[in-house]
Amino acid sequence: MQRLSEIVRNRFKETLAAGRVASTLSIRLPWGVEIVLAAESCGFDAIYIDLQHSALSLETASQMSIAALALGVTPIVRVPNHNSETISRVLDGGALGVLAPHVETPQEAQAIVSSARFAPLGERSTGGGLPQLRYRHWPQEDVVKIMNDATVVLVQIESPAAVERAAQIAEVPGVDGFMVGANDLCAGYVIPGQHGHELIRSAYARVIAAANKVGKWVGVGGISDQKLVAEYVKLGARIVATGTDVSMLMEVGTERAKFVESLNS
Amino acid sequence: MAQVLREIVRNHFREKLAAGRVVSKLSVRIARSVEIVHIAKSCGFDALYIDMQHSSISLETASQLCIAALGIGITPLVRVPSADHVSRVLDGGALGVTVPDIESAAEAAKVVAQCKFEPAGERSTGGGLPQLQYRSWPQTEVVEVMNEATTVFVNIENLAALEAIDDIAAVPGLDVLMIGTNDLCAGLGVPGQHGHALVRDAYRKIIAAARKHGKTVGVGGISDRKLIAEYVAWGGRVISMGSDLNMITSAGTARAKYVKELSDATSK
Repeated sequence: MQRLSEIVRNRFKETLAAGRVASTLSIRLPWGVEIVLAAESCGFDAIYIDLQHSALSLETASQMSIAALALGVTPIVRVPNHNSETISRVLDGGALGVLAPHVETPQEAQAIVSSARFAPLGERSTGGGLPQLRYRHWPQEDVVKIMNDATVVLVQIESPAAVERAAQIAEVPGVDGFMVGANDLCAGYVIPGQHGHELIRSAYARVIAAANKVGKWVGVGGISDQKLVAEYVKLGARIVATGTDVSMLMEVGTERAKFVESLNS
Repeated sequence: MAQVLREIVRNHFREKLAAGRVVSKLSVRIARSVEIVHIAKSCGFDALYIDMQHSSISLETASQLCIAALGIGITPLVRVPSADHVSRVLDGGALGVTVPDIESAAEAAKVVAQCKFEPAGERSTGGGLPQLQYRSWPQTEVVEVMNEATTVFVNIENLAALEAIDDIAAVPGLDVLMIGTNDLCAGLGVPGQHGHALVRDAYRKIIAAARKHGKTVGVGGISDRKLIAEYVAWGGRVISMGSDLNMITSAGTARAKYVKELSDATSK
């Protein structure tokens, strides 16, 4: 019989645990499950299903998550709020991780962990029949252990206040890592769009140092300048959010339409 | 009055072709919602080519995408799985259709008949067209303007069509001979060899027939830019620039690869 730990794999976490850099693709458009196959073929470690900045439904997020589980690309959902209800339904729907936006205090991070992890690490409600387990029955103590282990909790550090408290937030047990939302952080420092600004560089350095000190991961989000991404990875960041489905379509499509237009000159 | 109607029913793709320009289109195969229409428009494509032949997109979804496209002025075209679907697709909002695997002038003439109202064809009149924003107009004007604005394509992608190309190109009301290069290559026994001498000969033959009868030629299924430019230099005017799916995989593969290289360099 297959072991539970073989069924519930989290490629994203395994990549990071091996000291490698993990890549993610953000999904904002209401595709069918085809997008998950495409993401897997591209070579991404995880998909971020973005319920914060999109009109995607919980239902669609769940369908994409389940498709991702089958393929082995890790489904992580960016939730629109920190509500226990949102986090638990997203995880019940098949996600192997949540990404919570705008976390500024250890208390907020603690509450998110609590919603995402079963007791004794948290207070996640047990619904039974999880897609991550292919709806099979297992002794509950095994389910708790395996699911707590396989579920990634990421919080977004994206305000000056959060940067100030990064060390305390990093110490919250059950938080696996930070995504630094470069755009909101720039806005917070009133230097919109200046991803390479000294304030942002020092914020990254500070967050990375605080996180790495306690064995937590840091991710780079919202930056398209690859040199800058490489610089932050050199500092110790290990997750790279490479952008959204929309930005990929726009990038390739604009270039292709321009090519055809160039045949007119 | 017809002039007012013409202002409502604009086919920018057709107008640009009439001005002798090269036009681009994007195939939709996995998108399910209207965001793709805005993205295609912002990218600068002239037409959206909703592919019902090689996808699971429903008629309902195709219609929603067409109507969204009408609203922002990117021309909605639909590749139907067979000629049977033409009239419902046009009723759903498309301003043009293409039918795959045409083999003869008779088949091409049948497609034209399904796309055009009497007297140019036999398209059934349902009334309440999205292309007219569901307004009521005298039927004579609807017929005139809709027949004018609806672009009729056939796919030239097998040896029978190649053989009959002069007759097919002569069919009145037909606008575009869209070359399905991959299927044509397969038929010619040179799969995937878009620049093979046999394929070049086929392009020459099709372009010559089209020119003789005042028809437009489309280049489909080719990603090699030099080859596209060459076929355009010969007279090709409608260029298929791939699908939503391969745009995602093309950009996504590059981005994931970049992170993997970064990872390799870092963990050394």
